[in-house]
Amino acid sequence: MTDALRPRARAAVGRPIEADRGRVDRSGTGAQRAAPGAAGALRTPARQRATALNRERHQADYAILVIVVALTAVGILMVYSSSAMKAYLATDDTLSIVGPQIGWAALGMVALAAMMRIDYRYLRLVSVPFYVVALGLLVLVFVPSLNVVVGGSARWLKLPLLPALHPAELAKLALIVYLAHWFAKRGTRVKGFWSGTIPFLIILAPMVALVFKEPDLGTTMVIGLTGLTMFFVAGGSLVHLAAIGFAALVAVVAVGLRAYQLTRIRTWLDPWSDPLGTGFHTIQGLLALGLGGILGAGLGESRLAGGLFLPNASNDYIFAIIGEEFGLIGAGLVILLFVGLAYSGIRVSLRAPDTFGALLAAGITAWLCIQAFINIGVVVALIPVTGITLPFISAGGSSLTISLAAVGILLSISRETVERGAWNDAAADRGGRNGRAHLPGPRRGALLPRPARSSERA
Amino acid sequence: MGRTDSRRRALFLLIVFATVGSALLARLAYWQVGQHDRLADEAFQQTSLRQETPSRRGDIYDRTGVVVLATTIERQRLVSTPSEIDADARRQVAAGLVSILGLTGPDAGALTDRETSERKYVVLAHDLDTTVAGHIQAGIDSKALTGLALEPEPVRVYPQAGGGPNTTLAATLLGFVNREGVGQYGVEQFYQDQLAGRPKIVQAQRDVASRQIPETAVVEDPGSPGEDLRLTIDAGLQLDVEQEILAAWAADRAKSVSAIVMNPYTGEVLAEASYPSYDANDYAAIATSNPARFVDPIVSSVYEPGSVFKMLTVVAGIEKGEVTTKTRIKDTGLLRLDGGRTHIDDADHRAKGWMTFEDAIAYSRNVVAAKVALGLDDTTKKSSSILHSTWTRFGFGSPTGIDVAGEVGGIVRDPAIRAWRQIDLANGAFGQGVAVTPLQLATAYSAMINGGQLIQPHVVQAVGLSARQIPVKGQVISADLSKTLVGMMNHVVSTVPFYRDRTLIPGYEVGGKTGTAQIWNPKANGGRGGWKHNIFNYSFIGYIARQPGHPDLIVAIRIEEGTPTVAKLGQLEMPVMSFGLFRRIAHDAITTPDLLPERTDAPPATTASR
Repeated sequence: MTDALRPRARAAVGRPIEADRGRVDRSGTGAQRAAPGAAGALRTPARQRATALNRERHQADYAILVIVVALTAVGILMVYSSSAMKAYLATDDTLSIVGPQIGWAALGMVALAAMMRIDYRYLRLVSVPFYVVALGLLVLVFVPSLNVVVGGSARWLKLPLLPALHPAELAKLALIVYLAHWFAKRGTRVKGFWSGTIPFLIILAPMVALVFKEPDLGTTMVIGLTGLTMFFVAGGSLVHLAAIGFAALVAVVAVGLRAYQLTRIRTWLDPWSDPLGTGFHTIQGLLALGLGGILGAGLGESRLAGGLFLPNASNDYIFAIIGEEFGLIGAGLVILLFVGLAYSGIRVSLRAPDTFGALLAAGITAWLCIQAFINIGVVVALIPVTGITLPFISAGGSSLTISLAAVGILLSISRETVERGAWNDAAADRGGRNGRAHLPGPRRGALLPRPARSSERA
Repeated sequence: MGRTDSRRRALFLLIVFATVGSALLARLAYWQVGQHDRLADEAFQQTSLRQETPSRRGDIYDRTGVVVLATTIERQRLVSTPSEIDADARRQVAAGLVSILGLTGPDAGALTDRETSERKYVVLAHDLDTTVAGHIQAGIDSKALTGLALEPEPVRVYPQAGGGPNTTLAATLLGFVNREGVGQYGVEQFYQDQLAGRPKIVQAQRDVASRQIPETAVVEDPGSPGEDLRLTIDAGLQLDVEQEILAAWAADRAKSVSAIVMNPYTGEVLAEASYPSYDANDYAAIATSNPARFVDPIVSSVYEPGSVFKMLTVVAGIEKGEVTTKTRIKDTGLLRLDGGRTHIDDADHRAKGWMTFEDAIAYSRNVVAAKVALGLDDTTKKSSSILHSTWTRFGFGSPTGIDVAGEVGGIVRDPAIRAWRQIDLANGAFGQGVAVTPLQLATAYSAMINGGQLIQPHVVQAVGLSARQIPVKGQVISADLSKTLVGMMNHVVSTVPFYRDRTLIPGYEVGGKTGTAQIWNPKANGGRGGWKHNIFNYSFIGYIARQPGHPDLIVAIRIEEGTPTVAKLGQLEMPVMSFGLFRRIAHDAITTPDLLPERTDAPPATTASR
């Protein structure tokens, strides 16, 4: 491969690209490889380049788009239905909660469209700064003059000239991007203890610790589980994974459980033991589900939201209102949409053209689904109460916009998927000298010998 | 082209997500289908609000339909929600209210305490009139007073003043209505359902603060207003009677005085009063200090009637054929019974010798009455049974069924359950060892003088627009015997000079029977019990007739624990004797306009020709 033909951006990334060299093979410059010496062949014939591009970039996976737009639409509808009375009583305007939500959804859609059109590989360039900025914002949350304390935990950041932000939302995406980048770079060395597990934990730990300190147990769980899922998919050691899981459990039991969380667990086991205190949320959610039955009461007919019985009806407990208004059918459909998102997302991951894309897709999918399932699990009393939003549906600007942007990345990856068999299905040669991925088999030679580094810079 | 991510693990991840999704679906179905009924029930219970708005309570009128005895007016009630305003504002509001309501001392302190509490809803003041309510409303409108609201509050008022100080007319008969709108005692309690009507019931959803969500309200029952009552009581006569008994109560230094005026043919109670009474507009004043005063002694308290019960011995004796009015019987002054272990004697301890039966009753000879009772049949057991059945026939021992709450049936021992000794039978002959209500006496005497019909006493003649149909309970004695008894009662008051002088109403015929009963005090003599010294229960039950032999009204008097001014053996005198009170009341009754039907034609068949 000729250095001059490399896109400038990719050259700037430098080493990481090497881990992904297979990607280069389909980059449209393959034609040059046939006649590396021919000066006139520096220009690719237009037609050839067009077909090459077609092969490379195709339609995004619109199933994902349909699912996400459906969820967002349901979200706007349900946020209005569940917040109208509360908003009316608070501000004399039934739209005062859903209005911003619509704005955020629009912004999110713009972000989605933009991310979809950007080559996701560019994210590798910004993954480290992104990670650092997110970490910085999480630290800023602890500055009293900048944060907004809600219900005993400082989750919101109020920066001048900006609406209140939820830095943890940003942190999730930053972590996923950086982990995908880092795992892809690290290749098979992920398996190692010192080369894989420990650095992974060092990347994960600050974010988990900061979010836990807010305290926001739900988001901590989502971030931790998403990180571990990526570690799992990236090929981390299962033994180490099991050990981390066990250690996390011990840590939660030993350090994390404050008195109020113990109460939450007791309430989870029997919500009716304290119906007006800690069991109140759970019971009200279950009552809403019970009222819904199979067919539901109908849009806007929720008694528990209309009567303000259900606190957080438009965010953490919005699923209960869906259950009340649209019954088992509507609420079940929401679960199925998330399962559909998991399916589509993992399909994108499997067919992604490179490891970075695969891990990124898997991470984003895992994040959205884990968060959704934890939220729903809380509502149906499978999991102790933790405050966490239902992606795309719950009211909350940061969450919605960033989730939609993440889906944009997912769609961007889906534009470059290849059919199964097009990328090398064979196990990567993981016995290489440096542990990085490289071309297997007879084609290995085609890339070698590599030009000297000095000439690369020339 | 090495991929270092694991395809297998990604697929495994998909399986995990699918499994978790299924688990969530299953759990969702468990709540929404499996537990649907239970949860929906609980949710409905939590979110529904059933609001009952009481209908306007019916008014109570006297027999003329003109005089309002009880009505309901709209007043305002001041309520507050202290928990919704801060502590400073609460103190400010409390101070403002104290000055507007003009409260001082403990009242002001109590209001301040309630207003400055953390409670969600308190009632600060009841029964506000329009002026005060207007001041408060102005304060609320100008936002000087926060967290306050005026709520309409129906208040029951009794506009007619009674005969005594601080009383309302017929208070013990009517009862009163408490803050919850429930009638207490008397007519108000007995006719609670008719007076209250059906409340308007609105079913609505409520929010978490128990406020009704307006659009969801469904009228389940529009309700119906309470019905008005029209009593048989004549307000004018009632006032007269109350004044008379007040005078007697004061003059005789009695514990209480009761009187009832009744139509003996229909059972209509024309007046019914006791003193001490109370002010039904301010019932709360005695609710804690003296709640016993709410009880109407005429229907709810029993006493040993004494000699008025001799008329029942007369009935038994004459029915049995043992005696006639003219039968001569020897009064021995003392009668030893039960083989000498017990005895009875006459009030004056004198033996008056041979006398006719009617004279013996007129002079109230206990020994004669006892002899007649003992001689009703061969054995004490059979005689007891005859006397007891006579009593129960006239309704003693069970409530008369008058339409007033809290009526009691009295205490009558049944010889079939526990055999009477001779002393029991002898005592029973002159009304000792039995406890009855004044109303029972009036009812029984009505049957004696009206041709033998046991009538149903009642105080309400019409509920709403429909007149009550009051059936007669049946014939208890023959019409002939009734005639005889009328004559005998007239004989009582015409023979004994002491009675005659004090019951004479020129132009009318009167008759009746006195009773003076000793009062047993179970606490006396260190718990062994004993008769109260020189304190007696005085009774008189009599009739007044415009035409001889045809009684028009029955009047029963009870003076409880009167204190005589002259107390010698066999001679007791008070400023107002029971028969003196009878005369006053009977005179009032007979002169009350339109109370008695005009009777210009020939006397009816029941009139005795004497």
